[in-house]
Amino acid sequence: MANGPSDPGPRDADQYPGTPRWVKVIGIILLGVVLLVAFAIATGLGGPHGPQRHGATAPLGVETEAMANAQ
Amino acid sequence: MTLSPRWRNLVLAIHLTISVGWIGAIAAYLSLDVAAATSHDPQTLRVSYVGMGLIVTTVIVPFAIGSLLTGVIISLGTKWGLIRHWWVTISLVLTLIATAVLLIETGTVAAYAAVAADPATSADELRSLGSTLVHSIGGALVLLGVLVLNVYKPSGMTRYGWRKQQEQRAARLDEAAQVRPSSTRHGAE
Repeated sequence: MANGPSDPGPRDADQYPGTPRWVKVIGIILLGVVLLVAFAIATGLGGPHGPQRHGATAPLGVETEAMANAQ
Repeated sequence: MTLSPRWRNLVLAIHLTISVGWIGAIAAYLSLDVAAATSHDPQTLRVSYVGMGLIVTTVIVPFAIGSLLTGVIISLGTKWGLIRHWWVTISLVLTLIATAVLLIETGTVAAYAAVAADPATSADELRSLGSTLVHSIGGALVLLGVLVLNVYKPSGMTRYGWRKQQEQRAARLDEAAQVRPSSTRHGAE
């Protein structure tokens, strides 16, 4: 393509061209998802997480034999 | 370490099969997960949870680990490297996150499956078991994102990759400069 008015012109070949815009967009999206998950866990909106989720208490507060065996 | 073309094709074929199979297995898991989240029929719930447990432990987890391992091998064994190109690095990070969440969630799914498989578990207990829909939909979206990255391979090198490329270019130029004077001399003779 010919150099347009918005073309920044020739770049120094010894200089790192920088992080592409699509990487920055993905980074922002990932950061948003991480913050959302952290918020959900911190406020309890996401429910209990991790192995303890099927640990001490069973659904309805009933410890079934199978659940006890699964621990 | 660079893989020979024969080995590279073999590892790539295994990697593609396992990775696409992982997405397919999640699609199968999702159908059961939706049934578990929406159905009130005890029989449907029971078979859904048992099926989810089987799919996770016998297909999804082995495929996830296999995809991660073959992905690392194919990256290190080719010009792409692990942290030279942004699309490879981001794919690796997303796959690592997906695998970590999967391994944590596997315990929950296995426990649900054990409860559902127990004939003594009542219909109310089955209905009160949770679903893993958020994780399975999230996992599917992450893997589709990785798939898109791997197909389109958007350009862009990391700072490390760019520096390595410059070093290799400089080394090639040095080599060429060392060879040229002697060949010029031969030509003059």
